[in-house]
Formats: sequence, C-alpha cells, structure tokens
Amino acid sequence: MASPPRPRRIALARIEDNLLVLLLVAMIVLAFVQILLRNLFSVGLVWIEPLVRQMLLWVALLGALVATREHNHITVDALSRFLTGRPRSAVGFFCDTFATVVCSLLTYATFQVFLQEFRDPKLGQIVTGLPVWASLATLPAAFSIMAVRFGRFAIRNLKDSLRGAPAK
Amino acid sequence: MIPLLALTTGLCLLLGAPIFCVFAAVALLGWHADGTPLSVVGTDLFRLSSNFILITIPLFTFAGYLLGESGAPGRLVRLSRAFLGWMPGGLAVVSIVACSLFTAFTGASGVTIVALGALLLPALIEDRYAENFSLGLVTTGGSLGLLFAPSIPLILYGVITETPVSDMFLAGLVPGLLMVGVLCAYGVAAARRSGVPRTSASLRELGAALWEARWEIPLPLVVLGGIYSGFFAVSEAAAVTAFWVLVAEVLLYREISLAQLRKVIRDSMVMVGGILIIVAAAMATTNYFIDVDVPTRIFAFIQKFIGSRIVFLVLLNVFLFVLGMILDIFSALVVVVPIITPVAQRYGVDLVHLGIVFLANMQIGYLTPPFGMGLFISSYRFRRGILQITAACLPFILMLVLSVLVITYWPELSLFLVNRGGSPG
Repeated sequence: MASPPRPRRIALARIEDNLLVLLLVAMIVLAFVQILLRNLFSVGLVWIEPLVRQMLLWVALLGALVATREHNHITVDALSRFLTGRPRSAVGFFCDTFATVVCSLLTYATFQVFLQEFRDPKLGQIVTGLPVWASLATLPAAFSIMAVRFGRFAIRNLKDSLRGAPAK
Repeated sequence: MIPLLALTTGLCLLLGAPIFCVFAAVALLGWHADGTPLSVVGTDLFRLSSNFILITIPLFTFAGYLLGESGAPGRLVRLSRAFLGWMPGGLAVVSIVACSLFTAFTGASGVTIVALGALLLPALIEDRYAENFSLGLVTTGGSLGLLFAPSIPLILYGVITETPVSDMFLAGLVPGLLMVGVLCAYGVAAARRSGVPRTSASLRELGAALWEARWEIPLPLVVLGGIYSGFFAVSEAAAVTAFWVLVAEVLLYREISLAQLRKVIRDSMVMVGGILIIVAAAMATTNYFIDVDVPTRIFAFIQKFIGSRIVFLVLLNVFLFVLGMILDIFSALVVVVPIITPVAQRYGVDLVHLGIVFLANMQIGYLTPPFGMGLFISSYRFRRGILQITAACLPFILMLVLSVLVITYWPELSLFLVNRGGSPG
C-alpha cells in the first residue's frame, strides 16, 4: 500500500474534486437566479428547487467520499488522540474494519431501494429527463467506493500494527 | 449476537470510528433486530434530498471559508477598531464584536481563532492587555457568536427538531447579545486593571476603513437585515451570501485566485460532506429510535427521579456541560438532540428555548478541558501550552456559565422575539 498511488485512483480523485466544485458553483448560481427571478420578475422556475435538493445529496455524498479518501471523517477522537504507534494502528484497524462492514451494508440497503424504484418507478422524475432512480443510484455507488476505501485503510492499519511501522 | 454487535458499535464510537458509520450501524442493527428489511435505512438516507433548508449548510460554509481565506478578517478588525477602538477597553470590545460576527458567518470551526486571533492577539498584547487575558479572549472568541444568524449549528438544530430556522435565528439574538455584553464588560474592567492607554478616535481612519471594506459592509446588513426582517427566506439569504462573497472576494477584491477558489470550495465541501452524511445517518437512527419509543422510555425512567421542570433544567445544564467537554458540537447535536427534545417537551420546555440552552452550553464546551476544540486550536495556533490556554480561559468560562444559567432559567429572554410574531424591530 505504500507504493505510489495508481493512475486510476488519481483520476477518480480528480473527478470527485472537480465534480464537487462544479456542483457547488451550480447550486450557488441556480439558487441565486431563482431569487432574482422571484424578486425582480415575480416568476420562478419550478425545476430549480428539486434539482438543487438532489445536488445537495450529491455534494454530501461526494464530500463524504473525499473525506473517506483522506481519512478525514468527523469522529470522537477523545481516546484515539492519545494513542501512537502500534496501539494506534490496531485501533485504526478495528475502526476501519467496522466502517468497511457498515458501508457495505449501506451499499446493500441503498441498492435495494434503487432496484425497487428502477424496476417499478413510483416516484417518477425529479425534473424532466432525470428519473428519481438515477439519483437513488448515487447512494450505493458512493457507499461501495467508501467501503473499498475504508477496507484499504483497514489493511494498511493491520499491516502497520503487525509490523510496528509508525502509524500516521 | 445483537447485544454483542451493539457493544462493538458503542466501542467503535469511543475508539474513533466515523460517527456516520456508528449511526448507520445503530439503525441497521435496530431494524434488523426488529425484523424490518434494511432498505428502510436506504430510504431514510435518501431523505437528505427532501429538505430544502439543508442547502444553507454548503452555501454558508463555503462563504465562511472564503471569507477566512481572503483579506476580510483584516478589514473587519480595522473597521471595528476605527469604530470602537476609542472606548475604554476598546480593543477588547473590538475583539469580542469582530469575533462573534465572524463566527456567526463561519461557524465555530476554528476559523475565527486562526484568521482573527492571529491579528488580534499581538495587537492586544501590544496595547498592554495581560497576556493571559488576551489569550483567553481570542480563544473564547472562536465560539462566541454561535447564537447569531446564520450560524450552522442554529440551522442544524432547526432541521433536526423541525423548528423553523428563522425562529432559531430570532431566539438566539438576545441571549447571544447577553454573552457578548457580559464579556465586553469584563474586557473594559480588564483594560482598566492593566492600565491600557486609550486611543482617540480618528475620522480619517474611520473613513479609510469604511472605504476599504466597502464591498463587505453591505453583506451582514443585507443578510441579517433580510433574515431578521423576514424579507429573505433563510435559504435565499444563504444563496445571496454565497454569491455575494464569491463576487466580492474573487472579482472585486481579487484576493482569491481561481486555483485558490477551487481549493476553498473543495475543502469546504469535504467539511460539508462530513457533516451532512452524519445528518443523513442520524435521520435513519432517529427514525428507528422513535419507532421503538426510546424517548418515551427515557422519560418514564427519569420521571421517577425528576419531578419538576426546574430540576430537569438544572440536570440538563449539568449534562450538557459534561457533554460539551467530550463531544464536538455537530456530534452532540445529531446524537443527543433527537433523544432529549421529546423528553424536554414533556417537562414543558419550549423547543426553541431548549435549542438556545443546548447551543449556549456547547459553546462553552469549546473551552472546557479535556477535549475542548478551541483550546487545542488556540494552543496550536499561538504556540502556548494547553494548560496555559485553559487557565487563561477560566474567567471567561465562568462568565459564560453565568450567562448560560440566566439563559436557561429565563426562557422569555430567548422567546420574546419569536413570540412577537417574527417581525422584530
């Protein structure tokens, strides 16, 4: 795992970062346009609000993906703050394994929801051309990548705790 | 098997597993034990996209990050100095006012201590304020302003408890001013004690400071004025703020390059993703807790020991104070609020008032050892030992505790603006 990151991973990381930037700028612009329309011309575009709400979900998932990649999620660090070396790696292994399992289960749970809606679309479309199932699909996609990433951290921590290499 | 897994989950929380995973695990485990298909958790997570008010979180967070990266902190300090610097204890008052305004916009994420504290601390010491007073002041300033619009914790509390966010903004105003006022009074007294020389006011400097900040001065006026007068919905105010800050810092001041902007957006959205994924998972957990009547059970349990509202409030204060020592504000909000609000309501505590009490307590939590985030950021930023910072904060903590007691036992202080019907003067 200490080998230099593979090109595919770097490419994925770059896509995530750029999508995050793009989504936020789009949210700001859309929300602002809506205000202008409402206050200046007393009209509103009906598709803006539902679309922006979906974008919020995507921002949340992408942000969480990047946070996972950088092992930067919000945690209770009251105890782990004081650990160093092998105990820290061992605890890290335990927590990352836990996170891997949870994210895998979440992938399963959200995939079920997606599949149900995909087979029998009851919720219809968010905006014309964007069915709800397409947005639902982002959930299992995100959680599966998170599971892989936590798994990778778990393996690294396991190796470090066995070898006694300095943990980050 | 299930108790064992529940135990593992609790252990993981303490050992530092991601909080969203812990919540999700509780929901998954709970529904599994209940015999309900796990897909219910998936549906709950998707509910993140059904709450429009949540878009205020990325918008305000981005604006706050961008302000912190730009020259805005320097302009804010200069302007406050030009306005208030001539008063006795002027710079102390300046620090308190500037910090609380800045924290309201950036959230108490440590940005204030990093961006403003670095400017204020040397100035305070140069002005002959005692070093420990100055350290305590800038560290306290890092979480002051949490009760003012548009702070993210206020919004989150509104979202979690389904209270109108605009009510929370109104309710926080007077209690927040109380805290600011108490600290200002202390600052003036401290200035007297250490014989801080007074500076005279300069119209020329005031004019220059005003001119320098011309693109930013309208922001708090438009946003706060818009929210408090009811002209803007909170989500609209967020969009205006984000757009305004973007235009002002990138196009008008030209202090942020496009490459920096990309980094600011990315970093702020990672923070937002970290918060929102917890909110999503917490919604799933709450749904389960409500389904199995956890609040009712807790109420039934504590009712045996606590008879009156006052006793409940006293214990709530103690509980929240300790909670603030251990958990950071976002975790505390999503973990504890959904459980205590139904209980508090049965004791006749108003939801809006409870939120203010909760956040006021959490604000102190930033400063209390052993895990107060403000202490660590300040220690790191100013290169002082954690013990010195803690000692420096003690008088401030004491005063904030007194303010919290007033806020807790005088509900009207929080509620009278809300009850006036949402259109304060």
